[in-house]
Amino acid sequence: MLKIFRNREGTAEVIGTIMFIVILLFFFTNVYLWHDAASKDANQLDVQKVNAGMSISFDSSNNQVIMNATSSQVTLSRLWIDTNDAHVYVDLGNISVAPGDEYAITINFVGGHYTVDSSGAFFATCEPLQGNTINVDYTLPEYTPQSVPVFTVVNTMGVDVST
Amino acid sequence: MIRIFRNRKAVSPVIATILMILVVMVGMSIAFSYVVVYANNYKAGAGSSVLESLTVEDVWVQGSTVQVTVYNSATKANIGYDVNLQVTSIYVDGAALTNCEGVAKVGDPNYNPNYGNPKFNLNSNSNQQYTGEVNAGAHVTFKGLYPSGDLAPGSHVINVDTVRGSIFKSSFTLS
Repeated sequence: MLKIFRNREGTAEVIGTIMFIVILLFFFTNVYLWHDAASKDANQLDVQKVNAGMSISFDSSNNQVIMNATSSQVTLSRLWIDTNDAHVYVDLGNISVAPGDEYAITINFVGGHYTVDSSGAFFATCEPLQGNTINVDYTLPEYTPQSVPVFTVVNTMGVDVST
Repeated sequence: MIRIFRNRKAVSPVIATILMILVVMVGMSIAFSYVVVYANNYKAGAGSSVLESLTVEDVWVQGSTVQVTVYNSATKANIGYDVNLQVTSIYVDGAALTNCEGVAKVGDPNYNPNYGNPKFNLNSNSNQQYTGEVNAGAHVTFKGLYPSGDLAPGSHVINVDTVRGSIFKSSFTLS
């Protein structure tokens, strides 16, 4: 047994192999840890999406869409107005809405109509935020109670809620 | 001093050692280059699929024409870095939309004025100027034809596939 340990032949190969494996492990561990961190980031976004409470309602008496952030601050990206004749979007310009039931954004429909963008999609424009109010330059079509437009708001995390 | 250089004893072991070191260094360099390239490609390609985040925000159907608007929410504000993605195909109820094309709007992050008309066709590789990229934070609209004719009223499933292999599923209802 003692002779085996005193024999130094092949020591370099063993050390070289171990070092090779250690360096390879370093690189693959790097990839694994990166993937682990990426997965955590993606999961974190999913958690944020779940917690991004929003609600949207439509008051047909004065053509107002009211959007609320119910649990955490949300940043609103786009509003969709869907009727049987057209789906029209309004870019809201990443408006931040503070959490709480009392804060709401009201959209007043002040006339005008949609425009066609280069993809053929219809869009309407809005004026800069004034307090809690946005004036959208778009006229809703005449509708019966059965054909009230569907309003959908999308936030910057990709969460959308509809009326 | 001159005698030392003229003495040729043990020259071959020295050359052999140098050669061996050279061979090992070249071999290890090739191996590590492969590992580094593999790791970088993995991070930029399939590995990043977990970071892709796409929302189907609107689907509008007119007969057999389906207009799909998507939003890429994998932005620096949300996950710490921007992750751009590339849509390869869109399926409705398992059938790929034909003549599917997307357009980047002027002002969109995807819009490239050097290309002039940024319209692209997902189903054709010819003359492509814009290949379905949806940059982080961008809204992009795609239009295509449902191959089996008009979509019937009811609930439908839509899948958006990306080049990294992610599939984003959503549903919509036609009245």
